[in-house]
Amino acid sequence: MKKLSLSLLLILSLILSMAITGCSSNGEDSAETSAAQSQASTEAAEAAESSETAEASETSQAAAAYLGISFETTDLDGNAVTAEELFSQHKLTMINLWGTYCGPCIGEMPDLEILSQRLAEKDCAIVGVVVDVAGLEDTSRLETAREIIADTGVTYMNLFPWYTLMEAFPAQFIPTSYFVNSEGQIVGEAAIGARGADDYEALIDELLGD
Amino acid sequence: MADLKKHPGLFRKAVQGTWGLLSNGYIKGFLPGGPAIYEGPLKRFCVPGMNCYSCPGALGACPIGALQAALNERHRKFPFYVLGFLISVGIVCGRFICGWLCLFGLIQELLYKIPTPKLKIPEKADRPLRYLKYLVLLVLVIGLPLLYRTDYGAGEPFFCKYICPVGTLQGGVPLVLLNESLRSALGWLFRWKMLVLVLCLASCIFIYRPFCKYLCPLGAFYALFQKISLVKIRVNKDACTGCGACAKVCGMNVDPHRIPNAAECIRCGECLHQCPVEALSFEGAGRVIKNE
Amino acid sequence: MEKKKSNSWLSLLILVGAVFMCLYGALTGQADSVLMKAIRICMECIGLG
Repeated sequence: MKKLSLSLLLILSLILSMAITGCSSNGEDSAETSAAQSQASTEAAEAAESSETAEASETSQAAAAYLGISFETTDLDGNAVTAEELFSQHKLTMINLWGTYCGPCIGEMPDLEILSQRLAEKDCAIVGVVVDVAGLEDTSRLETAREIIADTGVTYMNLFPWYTLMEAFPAQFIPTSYFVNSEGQIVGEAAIGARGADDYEALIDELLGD
Repeated sequence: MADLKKHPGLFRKAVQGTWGLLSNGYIKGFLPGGPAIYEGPLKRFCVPGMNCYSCPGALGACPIGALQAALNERHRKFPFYVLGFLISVGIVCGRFICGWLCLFGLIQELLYKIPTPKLKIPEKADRPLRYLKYLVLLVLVIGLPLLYRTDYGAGEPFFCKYICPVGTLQGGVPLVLLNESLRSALGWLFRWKMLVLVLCLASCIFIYRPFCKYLCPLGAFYALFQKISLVKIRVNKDACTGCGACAKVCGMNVDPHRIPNAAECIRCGECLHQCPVEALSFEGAGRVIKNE
Repeated sequence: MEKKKSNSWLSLLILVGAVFMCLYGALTGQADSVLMKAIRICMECIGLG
């Protein structure tokens, strides 16, 4: 009888401690993971940034008016991309998060290419984010991503999942697509799960209509 | 209330339950409005039993899921990490994991406790059906993920995607219930998996651990190590009277005193308790661990 | 008794080999791969499709 209550007590305390540690370690640790991954990427970005400081001081006055989502990252060739630049160019930007290991993500990409051509006529755009390629230094996965982009015929821009970008567009499930207006604000609901070009277009048309 | 001597299996249930709660202890995942799943570093580790990483509370990864994920990559890599883990666990204790550290095993056992008449599968059907899980392992977990690629070079985790009721129960169902945003993605695949789950759970009420017997690829893998694991069951041939009490109590239809480390034995230890002369024991590398 | 001992040695050897295999996989980034797939979950892969 004593053995039973003792083991039950032990069990309860173990559960409690695990639950507490489990609860607190989510955000910080995933931040650590992605931060560690993008460390090398940030260093590469700093080199690119120093050459842009002259332009930056001019645009900072205009930037004060921008209240939307902010992030920094580069495209798959290493060209810096900022949120304001990206979103202000289009009425609606669809951010599609995908992974090289995700079959349905890859399966919908040919459709997304078709969609991107249709959207260009509506002054909208699709931008992809490869969630499992940390940066330019992640050569083997980057190579895989490039192969997939070539195989599926994708021509639209793809970005690396740097920390600030992933904070703005969290994706615990992929494929996930967010819709962002020209002011850099997320509109509508995120579309989780693969779907066809027509479905996405219907969603976008609805959002444009508002 | 509960007397460990009268209900020796209670200790095992407590271990199964504790481990189930511990390995799925991310409470935030179950709270509405919170993150859907745990995203922390513990998920680089596999748990030893069947436990889908998509469970809102899951703190670790499923080894069978991780194995398929490694094999179905566009550029195939030998799965050193996952396979090394699986072999380590298997060689230490074989299907002991099934009996003590698998949440889905516990769920099946609890369903079987529902008082209904129980189905006895005739041996002629039961024996060959036990080999089905090896087929599941070879084809759905290893073969197809390794070999099949779509036109765009993407692979699929066939067992996880099309069959696994553990994932549907622990992951799919709670996720869909707790996250409205996921519901628009549901189609025929989810409906099919729900059917598989319902059939599986229903059969668990009438048959003892049918998933473990006929379908589980992880059980099939661990079964390969039963005779050579470091921890195994030992029969004291001198003490054994051949009464058959051990075989009678075995839910997996094993005859422990004849074949003590059968592939089908999940090492729950029930036979140890039932043996009137304590001829059965767990032993580790030659030394007795537990006797009654 | 001797046969049992030699069996134990074989099992220990397999264990050591498997542990090394696991560590090797972890050092070559396979553990990170497991982590990535477990925190950015492919929907259809878990049957949500």
